[in-house]
Amino acid sequence: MDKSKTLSLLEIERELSASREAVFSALTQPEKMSQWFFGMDDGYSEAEVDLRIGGKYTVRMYLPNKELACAPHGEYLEIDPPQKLVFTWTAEGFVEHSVVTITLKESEKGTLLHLRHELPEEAVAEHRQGWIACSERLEAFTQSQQP
Amino acid sequence: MVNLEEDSTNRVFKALSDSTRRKILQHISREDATVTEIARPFDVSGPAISKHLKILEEARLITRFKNGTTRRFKLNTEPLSEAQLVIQRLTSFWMTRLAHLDTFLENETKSSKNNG
Repeated sequence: MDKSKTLSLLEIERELSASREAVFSALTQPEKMSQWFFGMDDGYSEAEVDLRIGGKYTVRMYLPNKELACAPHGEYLEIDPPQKLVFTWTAEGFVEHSVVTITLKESEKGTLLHLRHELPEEAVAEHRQGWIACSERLEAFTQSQQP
Repeated sequence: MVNLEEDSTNRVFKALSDSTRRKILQHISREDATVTEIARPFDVSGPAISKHLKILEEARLITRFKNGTTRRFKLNTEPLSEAQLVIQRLTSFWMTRLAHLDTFLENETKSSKNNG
């Protein structure tokens, strides 16, 4: 079977009111990443980043009770500031070795962020055990925060 | 029970990962069909089509039934929602992260304006 076959593709766009440089910096500077990634109202996170091709990153996402909810990590495949960032994305039990491509385009408001998450066939198939551990823990917590 | 559900989701993913099988599903979703009808648009052998149908059946995306003496296949949409659920979860994960990124950037812009 062709392992490179894409299982699924997830695409999201969001307009951000900041320059592409500011967005790129927020996406790649660990002290900034830890603030937005999980650090708003639903917990806190710690980011480690080695920003170079082949360099690794980890974002540990903690619930307010200090329980580790999820720790997505991966490797940078393409770094082209301020327009493109490509990295692998693994979260144990969530998905493995999937690829996220973020492109930033100038827009009226500031920046149009396009996120494309490719899930190859084997990304989900063999690593479903912890899916619940990661995503449902986050989801359960998010729901408990809603009024 | 949970493991059973996970296995069936894996089968759905496997079944949906192939473009021929996705086309077969599209065909059957329009109308029930026999193996011959399903095979017609494809330039592949009978056994190859049978193999695709077997994978789709194992994923419970199609079911076979008898209409007189002919065997026909019909679509079963129930497992599809399981696969979509996984994508939906990941989508909501990213939507939340990007909403937070937006808030972070707005705050950052405000504070830099205040500072100078």
